[in-house]
Amino acid sequence: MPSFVPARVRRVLGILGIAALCLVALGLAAPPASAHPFGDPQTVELTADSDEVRLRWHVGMSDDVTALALHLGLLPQDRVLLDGAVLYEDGDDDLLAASPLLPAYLLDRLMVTAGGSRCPGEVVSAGDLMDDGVLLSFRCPGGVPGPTSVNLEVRTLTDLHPAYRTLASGPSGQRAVYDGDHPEHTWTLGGAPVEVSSASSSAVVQLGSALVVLVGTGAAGAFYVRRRGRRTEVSVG
Amino acid sequence: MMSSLLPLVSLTSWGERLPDLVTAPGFVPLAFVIAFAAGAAHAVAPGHGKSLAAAYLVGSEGRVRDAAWMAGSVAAMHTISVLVVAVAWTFLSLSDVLRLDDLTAGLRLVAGLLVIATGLWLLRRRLRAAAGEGHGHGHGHGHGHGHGHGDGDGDGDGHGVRTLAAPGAVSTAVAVPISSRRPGIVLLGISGGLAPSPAAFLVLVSGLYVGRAGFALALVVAFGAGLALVLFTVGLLALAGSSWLSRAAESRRALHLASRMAPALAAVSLIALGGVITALAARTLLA
Repeated sequence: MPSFVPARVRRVLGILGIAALCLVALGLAAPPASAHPFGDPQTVELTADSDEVRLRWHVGMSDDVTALALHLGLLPQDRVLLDGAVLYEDGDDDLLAASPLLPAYLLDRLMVTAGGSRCPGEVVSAGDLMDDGVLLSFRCPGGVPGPTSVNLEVRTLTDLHPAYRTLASGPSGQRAVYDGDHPEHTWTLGGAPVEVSSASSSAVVQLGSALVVLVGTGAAGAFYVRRRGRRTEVSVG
Repeated sequence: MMSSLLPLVSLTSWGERLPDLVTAPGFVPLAFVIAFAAGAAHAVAPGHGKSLAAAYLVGSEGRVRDAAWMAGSVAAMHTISVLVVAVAWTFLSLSDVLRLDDLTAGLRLVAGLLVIATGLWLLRRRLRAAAGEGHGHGHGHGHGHGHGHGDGDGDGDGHGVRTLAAPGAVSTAVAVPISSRRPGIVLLGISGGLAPSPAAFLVLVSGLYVGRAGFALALVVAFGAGLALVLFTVGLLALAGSSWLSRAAESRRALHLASRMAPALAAVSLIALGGVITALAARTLLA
């Protein structure tokens, strides 16, 4: 502790420091591995072929399967831990995939409309929830050649918790982020011109620029600190 | 109005609302403040290397500069980790190859092994120092000024001795030969920042999806800075505690013993913590 710090402050910091050392012991009781679950976010992939719009919905991380199964009443409430968390167990995905409540839930909360009319949908497959997700098909009114744009409303999982987000991708590199406050997005289909720049090239330019600024700032800071250190050494010597 | 103030009053909501800052930035300087606060709040939660940082700094009799290096390396590694995982997930279909749950468990396994390695290295150094003390070499008693030898980048040739608890502090601790503490610091930094935080990952992925990748990365950097500040503060407190213990030990025999034992105990704690992290990650991977 630098000597210019007043003794009283150092004493207080010392006591606090002892408390900090206790974190070593506390760390054993609260290991980092259980601190924050981390997994894939919820995704929707939209593709279109003439008048058929297909969605592939992925629930996200495994714990979300269990949370949804609990929400739909497929699992007992005692699966909820005391701190409110839920943990995935083998078989939860099969239980959810086999339940008729899942298609009903998805068709209620994934809505496709074209020209103001709702496109009727059905669940095509829901076998392997974790790896393949659920495939849904929507037929829009009007027949071939199909709509040039559709509106997709996504409200899945936000009824469990408003913090859930859905990362959606569509034709020609279109992307969108859905959340509780932004449940709708319009997607351009077929040969209609898409007003999006190449997401990957744009990202490379932006990330590259940000990294150049970051590294440049860091290098300048390091140079300044070293130079200042040398000056101090010279003046001391 | 209430909803816009919500992020300012709830620690947990800071992290949850963070991706909103990318899709609807609002007042940009405030977005950076919230990202910084979210990073600090994230670091305050259990885990994230606070115990490891404290244990290492006590175990290696580190200095303020070491605490800064430790915090900075965690923040840098976390930013790199978020960047790599988010770009791979968005553009390289990472989830088709490996689920993020498994990736995270794998990263935590590596992090745990790094912590064990650091603990073992530290313990070995303590034992060597103790052996050196037994032979009457390389121990000091007095004021540590840390002068003339930079910041410990040397190769450990043992030509100099100094007390490392803190500049200007009176210490009775065994002096440690000037050797590099950086490998341990960097290893722990990598370990602490290896697994990306969900909020930061979602911020960058959201930025990549809505075409604001640069802004999102800047928010992740601000998040990392908040994280680093908490780790640095914990490091300072650990150093202050260690220094206080050393000074108080001059007049109390029990404290003297505690002061002498603290570095070795810290090294053993590192090994134990690394073992717990590794075991939990392995259990997740094998489940």
